Amino acid sequence: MNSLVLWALVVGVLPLFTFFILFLGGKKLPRRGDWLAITFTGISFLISLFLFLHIWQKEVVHVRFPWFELGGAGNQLVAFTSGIYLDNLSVLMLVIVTFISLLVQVFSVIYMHGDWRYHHYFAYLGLFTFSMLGIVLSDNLLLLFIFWELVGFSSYLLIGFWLEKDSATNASKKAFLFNRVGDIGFLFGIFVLYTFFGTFDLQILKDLVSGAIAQNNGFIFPNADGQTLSYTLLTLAGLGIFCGCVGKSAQFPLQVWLPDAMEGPTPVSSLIHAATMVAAGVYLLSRCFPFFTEDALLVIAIIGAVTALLGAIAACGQNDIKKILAFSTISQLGYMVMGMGVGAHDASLLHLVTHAFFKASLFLNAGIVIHAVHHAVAHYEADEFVDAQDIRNMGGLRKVLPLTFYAYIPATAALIGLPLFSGFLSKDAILSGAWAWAGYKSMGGNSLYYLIPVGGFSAVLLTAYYMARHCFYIFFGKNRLEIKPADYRHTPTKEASWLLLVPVLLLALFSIAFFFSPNPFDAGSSWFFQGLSLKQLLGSTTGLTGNMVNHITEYLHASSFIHVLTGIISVGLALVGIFIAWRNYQKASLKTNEELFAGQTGVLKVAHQHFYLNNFFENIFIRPFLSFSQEVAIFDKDIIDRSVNAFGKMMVILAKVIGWIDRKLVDGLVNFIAWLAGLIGKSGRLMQNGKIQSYYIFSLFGLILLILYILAF
Amino acid sequence: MNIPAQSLINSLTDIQSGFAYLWPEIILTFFFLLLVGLDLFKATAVKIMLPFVALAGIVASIMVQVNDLNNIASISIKHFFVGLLISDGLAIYAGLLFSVAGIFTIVLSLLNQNLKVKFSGRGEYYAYLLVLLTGLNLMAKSVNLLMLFVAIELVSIASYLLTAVIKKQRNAMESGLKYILYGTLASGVMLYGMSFLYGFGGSLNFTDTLFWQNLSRLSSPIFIAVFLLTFAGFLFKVAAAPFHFWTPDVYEGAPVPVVAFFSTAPKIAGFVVIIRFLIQIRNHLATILQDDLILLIGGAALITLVIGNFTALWQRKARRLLAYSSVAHAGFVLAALAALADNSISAILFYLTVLLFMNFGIFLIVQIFEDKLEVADLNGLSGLGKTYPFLGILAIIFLISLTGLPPTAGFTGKLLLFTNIWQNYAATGNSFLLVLLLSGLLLTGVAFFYYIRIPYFLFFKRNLSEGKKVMLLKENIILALLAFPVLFIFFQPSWLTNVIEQVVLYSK
Repeated sequence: MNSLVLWALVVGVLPLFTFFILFLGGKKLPRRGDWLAITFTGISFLISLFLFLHIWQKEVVHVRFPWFELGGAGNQLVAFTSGIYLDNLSVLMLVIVTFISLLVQVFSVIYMHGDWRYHHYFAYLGLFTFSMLGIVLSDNLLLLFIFWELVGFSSYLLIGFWLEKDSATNASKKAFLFNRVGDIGFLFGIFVLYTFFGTFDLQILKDLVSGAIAQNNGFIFPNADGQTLSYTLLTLAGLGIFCGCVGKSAQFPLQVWLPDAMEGPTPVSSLIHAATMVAAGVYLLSRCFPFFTEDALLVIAIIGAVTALLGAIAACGQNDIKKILAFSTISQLGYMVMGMGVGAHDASLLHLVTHAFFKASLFLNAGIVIHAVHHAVAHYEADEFVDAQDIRNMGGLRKVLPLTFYAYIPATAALIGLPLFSGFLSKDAILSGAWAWAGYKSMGGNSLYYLIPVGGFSAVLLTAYYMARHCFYIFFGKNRLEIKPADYRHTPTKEASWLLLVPVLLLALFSIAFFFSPNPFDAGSSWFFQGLSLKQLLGSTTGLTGNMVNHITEYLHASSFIHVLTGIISVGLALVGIFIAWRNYQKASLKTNEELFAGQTGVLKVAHQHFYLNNFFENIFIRPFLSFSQEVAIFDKDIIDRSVNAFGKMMVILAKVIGWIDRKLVDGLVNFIAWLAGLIGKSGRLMQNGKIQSYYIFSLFGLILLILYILAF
Repeated sequence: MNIPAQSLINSLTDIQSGFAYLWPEIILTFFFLLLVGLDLFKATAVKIMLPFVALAGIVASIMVQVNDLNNIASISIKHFFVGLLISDGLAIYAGLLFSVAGIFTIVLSLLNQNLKVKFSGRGEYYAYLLVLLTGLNLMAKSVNLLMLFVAIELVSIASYLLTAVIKKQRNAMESGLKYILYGTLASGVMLYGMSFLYGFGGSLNFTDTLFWQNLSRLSSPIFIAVFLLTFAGFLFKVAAAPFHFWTPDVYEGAPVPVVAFFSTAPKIAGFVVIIRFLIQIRNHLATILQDDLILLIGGAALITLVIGNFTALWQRKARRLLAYSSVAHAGFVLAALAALADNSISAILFYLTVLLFMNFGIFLIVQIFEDKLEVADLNGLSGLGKTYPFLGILAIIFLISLTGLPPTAGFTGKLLLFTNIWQNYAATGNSFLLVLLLSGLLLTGVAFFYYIRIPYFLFFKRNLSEGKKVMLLKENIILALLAFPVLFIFFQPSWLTNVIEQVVLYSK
C-alpha cells in the first residue's frame, strides 16, 4: 500500500482519537486535555502539508480496500470497496481543514475557558474534524454519505453545545432537520446512480459516465454496457445530489438553519458554519460534476445566484454581528454554487479556499469583539439588557482593539472583493465565468441567461454595502455605550490574549491576494487555479455536459474584454456600495439611540426577517404537519387505542376465566399433590416417634404387608 | 465325626492356602491388635499417633487390594476356607471402597472437635473402625450363610460401639442403644430366615447349585416369606424400608465421621451381599419364583423411595435430612436391583462409588457447620454461603450430585441406573419396572426440592446473626479433594466404568 495513503489515514484518525480520549476521560486530564487536541490536530496539519507537497500537481493516489459483500442477482456476490482518494482537491482540503481547525482550537482555549463542558467541546471539535476529513478522503459516495451525516451530527452537537440555552438546542434541532431534508434528495441521487451503474465508487462512476453520447432525450453509455438512460432521470439524479448541497451549504430554500446556527460558540461558527462544513456541499458538487446534465447545472446556477442575492439582501437588514456574517456566508456559498452551475469549476473552488480563510478570520475577530463587548458590558451600569452582539452597541473599537481592527479590515476587503485581496481573485473569476456562460448559452438567442451574472453583480454591490456598514458601526465613530476603553481590554497593555490574536492575524494574512496568485488581478495566474481545473481533477474524462466547459473557456478567451470589464464593474460596484454605506452611517451616527433602535420598515424589515422564510416554513410545512400529526394522534387515541383497549378488555375477561380454571382446577391439582406428598412425609415422620418398641412393630408390620402384597399379585 | 484323615489334611491345606486371599483382613486385624496394645500407653505422643497407626493399617490393606485389582485376571474367582469365603472382583472392589471410606473417616475424625486428643476413647475408636472394616471385608467375601451371619454381626457390633463411642454425650448413648436393640431384631429375623433356608436348601453355601434346586421346589408363599425374613438383615444394613427406622436416630446421635461411614461402607457391603444372592437366584432359581422376587425387591424399593424422599421434606435438621436421603439412595439402588439383571451390577457399583465421595463430602460440610459454625438446623445456615463462598459452592456441587443433576457424577450414576431399568423393562416387558422407573424419576424431582433448600438457605436467606469468621483451610482442601472426583467422573466416566467392567467380568 502506498505510504501516502497510510499518512492520510493517520491524518484522519488522529482527531477521532482526540474525540474518544477527551470524551471518555477528558475530565481527568490536566487542563482537561485541550493540549492533547491541539497537539493531535497540529500533527494532522503537518502531515497534511507533507501530503500536499507530495501530491499537488504531482500524482493521484487512489487505494481501495475490500469493505463488505452482498448477495446480488444470479447468485453472485457484489463486492463493495472503500478507499482513499488523494488528488489536488483533497490534499488542498486536508490542509485547509486541519489548519483552520488547529487555529480555531487554539483560539478556543481562551474563548471557551471555564466552560463546564470544556473537554466535551474539544472532543466534539475532534469528531467534526475527523468527519470532515472523512468526506475529503472518501473515494465513494456511500462512505462519503456516512461522513456527511457524521459532520451533520457533530455540527448538531456543537450548535447545541450550550444546552442550557433553549435557543441553542432549538437551533441545533433546526439545523439537523433542515439538513435531513437535503439529505433525502442526496440519498435519492446516490440510489439512482447505484441502480443504473451498480457502484458507489466515484472513480468507476466517472469512467462509466465519460464518453456518454447524447441521443434524443437520453444518453447512451458505451462504457456501461451501452445502456441508455433518459435525460430527465439523470437530471433528477443530479438535482438529488445537489439537494445534499442545498442542505449542507445552506442554499435557497433551506438556508434558514444557518443564521440560527450562530447560537453555537463563535469559534464553532468560524470553523464549521463558515470555513469548512458548509463548503462541503461545494466540494460535493465538484466531485460529482460529471454527473450533472446541462439542465441540472442551470438549476444549480439559478439557485446559487438566488441564494447569493437573497443572502446579501438579508445581511443588509441585520444588526447582529454574527447574523451579518452568517448571511454573508450564505451569500458567498451562493456564489460558489453559482460558479459550479456556470461551469466555472476552478473559480468556485478557489473561492471556497479564499473564503475559508477570510471568513474564518472574520468570525474569530467577531468572537474577540463580542468577548470584549461582553466583558465591558459587565461593567456597564444599565437597567436594560445590552446585547453584546448588536453592532449598534459598539463603535470606536478601532482604538480600543487595534490589532483586531487590522485583522478585520483585510478580511472584510477580501469579502467585498477589493483588488489586492484574495476575494477579488476568486469572485471575479466566478463572475467572469458566469458572464461567459451567459454569453455562450444566449448564443441561441435567449438573453434571459444574463440574469445570472446580473444577480451576481448586484450581490457585489450589496456585499460591499453591508460589510462596510457593519465595519463602520463597529470600529469607527465613538462608542455609543460610553464605556471606558480599558474595560474592553484584556489588560491595559494588551487588547486580548495572544492565543486569540495569533490565529486571527494569521488568517487575516491569508486574505491578501499574493498568497494565492503572483498577479493579484488575475486569477488565471494563480497556482491553485491550474491545480483545481476540471482538466486536472477529471483528466480526459468528460461528464454528461460533454464539452460545455471547454466551449465556455474558449468563449472566454475569444472575448477577453469580459475579464477586464468584470474587474472594473465589480470594483466600481463595490466602491459604490461602500460609499452608500458611509452615507448611511453618517446619517445614523446623528441619530439618538432611540431612533437607532427603532424598528425597521419596508425592504429592510423584510430583509431583517429574512424574507419571512422562517414564517413561511413554519406556516406551510411545520404547522400543518404538527396539526396533521395531532389529528393522527387523536385518531390513534380515539379509534385505534380504543379498539385495542376493547380487545384488551376481552382478553382480560378471557384471562380471568382461564385464571379461575387455573386456580381452581390446575392449582388445586398441584396443591393436592403437594398436600399428598406432605401427608406421606408426615406419616413417615409419625412412625419415627423415637420409641424402639414401635419401630419393632412398624418393621414387622411392614414385613407382613410386603408378604401380603406379593401374595395378592 | 467320622471324617477321614486324608479329607482333614486336604481341608487343612486348603485353609492354609486360603490365607493368601485374606491379606487385607490379616493386616487390619494386626493393626487392630497393635492399636489396642498402644492404647495402653498413656503418653500423649502415643495418643496422637493412634489415628496414623490406623491409617497405616488401612493404607497397607489398600495396597494389597489395589495389587489384587491389578492382577484380577490371574486371581480370577476362587473359593477358599472350605467354601466359606470367595475371592472375586466384586469382593476386591468392595474391599477397596471400604478402605477408601475408612481413610476418609479417619481424615474426618482428625478434623472433628469431639474426637480430639483429649477424647478418652480414642484408642478404642480407631480400633473399632479397623474391626468394622475387617467385618465388612468378610461380609463381601462370604458365600456361606453362617459365615455371612458372623460377618454381619461383627459389622453390627462394631457399629453399635462406634455409635456410642462418645460416652459423655447422652443422645449418642441413646442412639447406640436404639441401634443395638433394633439391630438385634433385624439379626434375629434374618437368622430365622436363614435357618429356614438351611432347612429347605440342605446347604449353608448359597453358591451351591443343589441348594437352589432344593429351594425351587418350594411353593411361592413359603419361599417369599423365607426370603423376606432373610433379607430383613440385608435391608437393615442398607437402611431400606421397612428396616430403616434406626437411620435417623443413629445419624443424629453418632459422631459425624461415623455417620458418614455408615452411610457408605456398610451400605455397600449390604448391597454386595444382595447382589450375590440375586446373581444366584437369577442363575439357578425357577422362573416363577424369580418373578415373585422381582415384586419383593421392587416393592421394598418403592416403599423405601417413598418414605425416604417424602419424609426428608419435613426435616429441619441437616443430619436427619441426610439420613432420609440415605434411605432414598438405598431405594434407588434397590430399584435397579429389582430387575435381577447382570448388567445392573456395573451401574450399581458405579452409583455406590460416586455415593462414597459425595456422602463424605456432604458430611464433612455438616461437620464444619456443627463444629466450626455451631449450626445444626437448616435455618441456621442462612446467609452463610456469602460469608464462606467456597464452602457454599462446594456444598452446591455435592447437593447437585446427590440430587443427580449435571455436571456431577451423581447425574451419571442416576442416568446409568435409570437407563438400566429402562433397558430391562424393554427386554422383559415387566410393567412393574416401568412403574419403578417413573416413580424413581418423579421422586428425583422431590429430592431436588429438599436438597435445594440447603443452598437456598446458604445463599438467598439473609444472615441474621453476626458470627465471626473462622478459617477453614484444611477443611476446604479436603472438600476440594472430595469434590474433584464428583466433577471429574462426570466428564470422564470411562475412567471408572472401565475398572468396574473388569470387576464385573471376574465376579460370581
